[in-house]
Amino acid sequence: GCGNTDEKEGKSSAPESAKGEYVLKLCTEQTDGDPIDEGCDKWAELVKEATDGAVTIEVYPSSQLGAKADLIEMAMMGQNICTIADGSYLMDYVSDFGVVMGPYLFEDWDDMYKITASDWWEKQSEALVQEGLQIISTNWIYGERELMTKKEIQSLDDLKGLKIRVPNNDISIAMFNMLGGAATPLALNEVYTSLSQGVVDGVENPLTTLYNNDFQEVCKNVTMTNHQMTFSNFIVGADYWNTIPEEYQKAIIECGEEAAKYNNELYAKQSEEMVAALEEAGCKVVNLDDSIQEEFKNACLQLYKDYEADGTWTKGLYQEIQDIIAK
Amino acid sequence: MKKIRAILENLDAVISGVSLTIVVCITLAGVVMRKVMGQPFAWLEEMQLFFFIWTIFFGGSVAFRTGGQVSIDLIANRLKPKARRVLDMFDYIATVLILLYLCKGGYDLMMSVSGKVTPYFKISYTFIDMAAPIGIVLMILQYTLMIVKEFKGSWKMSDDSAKKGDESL
Amino acid sequence: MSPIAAAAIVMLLLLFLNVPVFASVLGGCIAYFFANPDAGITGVLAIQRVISGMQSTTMLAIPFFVAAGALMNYCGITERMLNFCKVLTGRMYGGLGQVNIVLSTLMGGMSGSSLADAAMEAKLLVPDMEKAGYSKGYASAITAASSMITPLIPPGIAAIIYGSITGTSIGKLFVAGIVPAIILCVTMMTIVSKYSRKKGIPRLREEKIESKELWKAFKPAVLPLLLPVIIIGSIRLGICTPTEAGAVAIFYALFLGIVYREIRLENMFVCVKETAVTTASIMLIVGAATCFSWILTWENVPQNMTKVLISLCHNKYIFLFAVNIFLLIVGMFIEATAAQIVLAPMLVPVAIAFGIDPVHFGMVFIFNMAIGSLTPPMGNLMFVTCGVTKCSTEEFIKECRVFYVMLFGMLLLMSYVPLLSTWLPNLIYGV
Ligand code: NA
Ligand code: NA
Repeated sequence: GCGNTDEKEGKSSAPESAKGEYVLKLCTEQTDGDPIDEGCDKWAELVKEATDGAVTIEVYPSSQLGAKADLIEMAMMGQNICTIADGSYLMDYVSDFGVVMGPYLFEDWDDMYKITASDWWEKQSEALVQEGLQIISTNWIYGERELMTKKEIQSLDDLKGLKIRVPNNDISIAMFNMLGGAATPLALNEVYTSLSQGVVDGVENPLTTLYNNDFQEVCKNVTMTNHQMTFSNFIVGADYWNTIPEEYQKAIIECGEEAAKYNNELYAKQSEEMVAALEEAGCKVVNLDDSIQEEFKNACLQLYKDYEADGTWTKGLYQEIQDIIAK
Repeated sequence: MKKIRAILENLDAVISGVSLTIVVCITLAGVVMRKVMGQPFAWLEEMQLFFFIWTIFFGGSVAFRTGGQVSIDLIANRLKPKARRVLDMFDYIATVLILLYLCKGGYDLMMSVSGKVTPYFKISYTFIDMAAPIGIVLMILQYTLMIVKEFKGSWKMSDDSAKKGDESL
Repeated sequence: MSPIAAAAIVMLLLLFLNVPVFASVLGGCIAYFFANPDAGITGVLAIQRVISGMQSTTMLAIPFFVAAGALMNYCGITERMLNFCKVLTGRMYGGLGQVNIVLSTLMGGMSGSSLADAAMEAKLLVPDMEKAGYSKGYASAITAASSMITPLIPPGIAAIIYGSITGTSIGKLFVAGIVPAIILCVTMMTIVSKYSRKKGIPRLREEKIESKELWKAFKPAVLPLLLPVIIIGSIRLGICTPTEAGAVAIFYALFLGIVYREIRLENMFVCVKETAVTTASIMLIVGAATCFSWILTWENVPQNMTKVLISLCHNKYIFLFAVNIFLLIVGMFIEATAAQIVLAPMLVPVAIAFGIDPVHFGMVFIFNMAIGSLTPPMGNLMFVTCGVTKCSTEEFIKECRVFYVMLFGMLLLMSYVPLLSTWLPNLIYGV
């Protein structure tokens, strides 16, 4: 309800809105109306106000300008593109970033704020700038990831051998194999049919994503595993970023923080309603006992050891993160 | 010269044809694995796309040789032979310039994606995107050979049937 | 001049000057880069967009169905279908003209491309049609016009491209074409029958067709005729995706070749090569058009155009009419695949906003663009047919007039009677 800055004359919705001196194209994979998309619209609005129209943010939802990997390439080539990226993408450039996508890393979202405010995060971000990418906004909650399966899951034994759809990244695949399942990477848009045909037995994602894809029609059990708490960052090419005057850079960053908060509020509200919505759709929502939750966690911790052992991540990284959180 | 041409002519067709055959076979094997064995290939998609790109860029080179490239010859067909020659030369130069621009882009892209790997086999995208610059160079070569032939006058068929000239593999 | 206008002008100019379509479209893109140096967009980006347009597992269905179609000719399937059509239409006026139409309809179940169908029939049927009394122009016109039925019967390449770029169910699009295809087939047969009576073109035979004879001709055609059923069925039952159905179609064709004992290794090589070339030329256009379309999105053209369209058209009937006129004009000048990739992402959201079923809109869109391939100045179907039959385009266009009128009528019918394209998919897939 903050959109009445420029809508005085009836003509303001004409296609040719005046563009600022600097145009930043903000690209996400989320569809129109998703909390992250709304947050981006908010960001655009705030930046316009804060810079008196000198900086324009154009929002492109639904991967309109290309897939994430392509967008990152474009940003590195010097395009005025800003794209959403989580740890598993940043990992391709600065491998330690991947740890924030690790299983059972946080207890709650305060831990995320602690990490992104830490010196460790600062150091990783600087390393990323050396690779040509700059994080301009972080702390955009994507969600706590839960497990949705055809058969009820109360323990690790129940999960044994089940084919679980995971996104196509190493961490998710390794994690579900460690939990005793058979991690099956598939594109998200193939999951519904795969579930109904029995190609996979379950799927994991934040509840909102699960619900919006109608998986509750084919899977009736939700286990609140909270196995990952994932958040997103917005990154731009460092070269392009440096062409923007410092005062505008500051405005963009500050408005981004505001917008992230807005997204997080929307997300919290949506996910609260989600449990009820899923139950209404006939799903059984299982909350695991602390002791069982601990078993899940312990099964996954091997992942950190393996990644540190094979050199993917710096030795002692997991402990370093835990120390930051414990502060 | 003749030998080089013979090799070139077969190289693009063979690479493109083999890639296509592989795509067909792994796709069908994928259906069987998924439906019958219940074990889908995790690597299917990346391999399909890998070989598809190679099919396209090398097939594009064959298409230049066999007149398989779609173009609008409405005006061209109404020209007198002399004017037609001029237009053909213009088309050749314009196409080659466009292809060179792309080829440079393709080369840069290929070099810049060396760190990006496919999810399953960890194949560097360099090997996928490589099809573009190489295929484009072959396209330019094929087009050049065709134009040289035309201007030498050694082409026995009329311009029209040359466009649809059939070649064997 | 705005960079976008520069891009469009360069593209059209190159197209008309006989530069290959994919190179023309890319030439337009490059013109944009040069006209807009501030954007700093380079060749790397162009090729990245081209490749991203090609990296789609859905588009893989294209080479599969092209290969299946090509195999038909080498596995003796076309021959058996031709015999069946001859018996089937033997006592109708127009003889081979009727065969031409029915063959396009039945072979449509194997071939995804009208061009391949027209080229095959122009070679196979037109010479004999001329001997039977058809003028070269009319024989070519029937061949080309009836080939428009082929992509409407599943599988059709245009449906694959449309479904893949707009996210519409390809399975439903496949099914949606069947009813319009049958209407087209019957209408064309009526037109040809009238023409033949006037010109005194005899029937293929006078004696009645015994059911025994019909059965004898039908038997070898049964297995090929099953293919569209297999394709639709396996997609509908979730056994495979449209792409995988294409791979299944290839192996089915090979299987028929073995059953008929007509498979030859050297033919297989030719077939693979033909498919690779056709695929490459289609996919290069797809890639180039993806790049052009990306530039339009970058410049916010679709977003602005959507706003303009919604404000100009007050309801869906006006919208459909305006879109049809616009697409007919575009289709006359721009190659259908390229136009589809650039325009569909802009128009489909507007159509949905007006409450038009995307499957219905898809059929109107696909059929409309197909008409452009039959008309001057840039009609691929016309050029391919005339190229094979050596018919002059003037004569072709003259004889095609009756078909133009009919196709336009069919287009209006499809636009304003959504049931034609939605009834069957809703029946098979459920609403
Ligand atoms: Na078809
Ligand atoms: Na025909």
